[in-house]
Amino acid sequence: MIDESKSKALQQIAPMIVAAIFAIAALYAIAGNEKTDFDQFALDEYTISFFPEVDSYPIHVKSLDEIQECLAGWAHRGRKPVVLWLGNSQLHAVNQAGPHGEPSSAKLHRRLQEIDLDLLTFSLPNANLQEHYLLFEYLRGMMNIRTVLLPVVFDDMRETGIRSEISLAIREPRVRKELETTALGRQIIQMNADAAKPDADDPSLGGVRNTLQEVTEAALNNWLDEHSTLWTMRKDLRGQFFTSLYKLRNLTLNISSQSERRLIPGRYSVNKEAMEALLESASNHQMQVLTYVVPLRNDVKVPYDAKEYEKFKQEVSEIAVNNNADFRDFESLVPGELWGQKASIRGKEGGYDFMHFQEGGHELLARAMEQYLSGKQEKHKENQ
Amino acid sequence: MIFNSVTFLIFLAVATVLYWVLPRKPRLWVIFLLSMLFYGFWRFEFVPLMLISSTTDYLVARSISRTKDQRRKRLLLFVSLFVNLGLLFVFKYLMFFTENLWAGLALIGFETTPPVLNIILPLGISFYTFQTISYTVDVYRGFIEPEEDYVLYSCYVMYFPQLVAGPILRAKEVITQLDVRPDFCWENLSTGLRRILFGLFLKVVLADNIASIVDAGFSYPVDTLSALDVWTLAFMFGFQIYFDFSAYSHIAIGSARLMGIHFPENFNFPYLASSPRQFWRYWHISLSSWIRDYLYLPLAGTPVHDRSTGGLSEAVPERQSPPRETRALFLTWAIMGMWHGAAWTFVVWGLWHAVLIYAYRLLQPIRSRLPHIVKAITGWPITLLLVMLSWIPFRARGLPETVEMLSKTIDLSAYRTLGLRENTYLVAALMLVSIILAYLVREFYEKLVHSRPLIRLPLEVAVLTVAIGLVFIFLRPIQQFIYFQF
Repeated sequence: MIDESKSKALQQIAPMIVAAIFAIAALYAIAGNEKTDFDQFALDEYTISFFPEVDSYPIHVKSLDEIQECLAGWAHRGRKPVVLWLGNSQLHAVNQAGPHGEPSSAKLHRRLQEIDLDLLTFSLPNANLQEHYLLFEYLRGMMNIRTVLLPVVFDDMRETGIRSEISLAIREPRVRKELETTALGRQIIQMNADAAKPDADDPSLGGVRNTLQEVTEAALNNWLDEHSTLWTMRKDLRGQFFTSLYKLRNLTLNISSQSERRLIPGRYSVNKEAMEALLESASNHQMQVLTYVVPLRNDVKVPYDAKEYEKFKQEVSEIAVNNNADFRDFESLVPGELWGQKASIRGKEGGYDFMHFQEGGHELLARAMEQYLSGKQEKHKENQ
Repeated sequence: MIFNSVTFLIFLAVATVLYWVLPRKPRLWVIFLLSMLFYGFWRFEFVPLMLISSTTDYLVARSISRTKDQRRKRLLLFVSLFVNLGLLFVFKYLMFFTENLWAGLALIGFETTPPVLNIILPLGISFYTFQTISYTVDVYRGFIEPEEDYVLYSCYVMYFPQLVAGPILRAKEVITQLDVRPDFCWENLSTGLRRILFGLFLKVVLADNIASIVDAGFSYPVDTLSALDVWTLAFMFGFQIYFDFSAYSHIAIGSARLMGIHFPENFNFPYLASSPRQFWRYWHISLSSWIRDYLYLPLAGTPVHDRSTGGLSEAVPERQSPPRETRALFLTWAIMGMWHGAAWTFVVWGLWHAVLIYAYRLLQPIRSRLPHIVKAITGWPITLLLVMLSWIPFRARGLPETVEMLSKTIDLSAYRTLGLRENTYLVAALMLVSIILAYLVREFYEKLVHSRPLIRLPLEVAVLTVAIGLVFIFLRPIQQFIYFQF
């Protein structure tokens, strides 16, 4: 009788114990020893990210953590008027680059020094205009910004929201005050209310904020972080899980870099609003803005609906002009041979990369910016 | 305390061990104290409020039982209702009432500055208030004898697994289980752990990840959404709230089960219901059963039950709606809506369901003449679409947005475009398919697999491995449960 009951108990509990062991072993195997660089992962093997430094100070950054060092570098170089270049991965990714590739930010930085200007570049993969608006308000109070280079990207008009890494900028009282002056800014504050709290260090504790459980949960998490490598790797594992789902989707639905991306009206509208808010704020603070349509590989079929893309260009140019900003269409700036490949999910045969070009393309973009900024600088000197 | 956290898992392990090792009296004290601690992890200052509500009913129920005078019994019942509903009104509805009163006064020309009220809604107040009311009413009706042991009674009201978001239990179902501990049984432990794991999977893997898509969709300007987007968002929120709330119920049921205590089920594949009545037999069963016995049936003049199962429509006779029943139906549903939140959008949601049930009753004679196959084929999709659309007022930012969104669904020209990210449609379709598959697995698992251990064991281990792995990487209290706000 006792044996029978023990055997039944074993049958009921054993699968759970075995499964727990398997799960932990599998997670260890998946996690590996090194953290995954998801930015690089998204760009794939043909494209490499570069975030250049000058005299060991960063001049091109992707997070708020690097800003203080960046400011130290700016002070070290003599606090020249700053050109702020906001953008997406096009600014930091070089297609088919060698180990010493140089993106346009480094090239332009060097040339601007000669005309007494400094350059700070802040780029995030798939950055949307709400994020640019927030970053602009955050950085505006930290340095003497004279000009803003603002790329507008059709693909990124499909993105929305503020990623947690930069939502911390809302904690700055001056940033919040500025955001509160626009409807979109208020919405950004509301949607990132948790990040805005000065003591909200860990966004994953949003459900227990300002409770006793926040204290115990943070303490337990810290203890687990110290004593379990697997626990520390959880964020990485979550990223790997979503990347696998994304790959599975692409494989199942035959989605590639050439698949058509349609405009998403809700997101498009919010991004236009953000662009207007940024341009208006810049204009109110006597800053010049160059809004430009980014270079796009157009020697092959573009993965957008032609009418939607034309409408997008038309509308962003109107917004720029209406808000005292300059506008350029750089769609055809980089010729087809300077673009690159993107590894296809179906093998190594590759597809077209419509966003990232080779170093030659970066040279052309830097030159175009230099030309614009030199003209502005000359006018500025004449006015003085 | 929030279930989807390391703190809770440790708390539950400690509570379970103490429950099994302690004798009766200290065991009950431990449950009582741990339940207060569980609540206090949110805010300790609201523990006395819960004690006021539960102690009032403890005393009132004893007095009701002792008196023979029917008028005095009624007066005592009124005292209980006054205290409980009074607290609920002050903490949940006073701000809403004041805002509307001032808006109404402004409409007739009395422009004054409204008072500034900043009232925090105590966690779980709607749940424990309903539970204590049911206790006193059951004593008044003579369904149960009042409990003399205050600690045992308080354990029933405040028992931590169901304290914050149900299931709403009847005293008869729980007090005896808390009073006499059953023998330890491995099956309870195994089932309890599986239910907790499944609940955590629904919450941290599904509901919390869907939340960001839903939040983004409902934050867009409504004029940028197409009719198909409105439908998709309705479905997505429907899935989010189902996974979120049923997750809470699974974890509550599983946690109690670890201690050998059986809670009734609160959900049973509601989105596969083939009529609005059936939906309310499968969705938040303990609340709809409560509404049935303490509100709807008394209002309709029909005999009541004394159990938290069956759902709202189970006891309603199949007949054309006479006026009293119709009035009861609409009033009940308006209150049901308001129970969920102090906003007109919740009233709209409640009345929407009243209309669905009323229409279903009116069509019953026609429906009964249809062949079974036709009823089965048409019933499910129509019910699903109407129930899902009802989530729009529940989730939308306000009444104007609700009207605007619902108008889109009847505008044929709004069906030509798509305005959400492609993944949203994909996820919505996958969720629906997954629910159907899960139902089929449950229905056929016993028949096909259970008696074949060579298939069952590896399959079970594989499913549990994936579930444990995903819960491990996603477990974090990133968001509260949706029903915490009710």
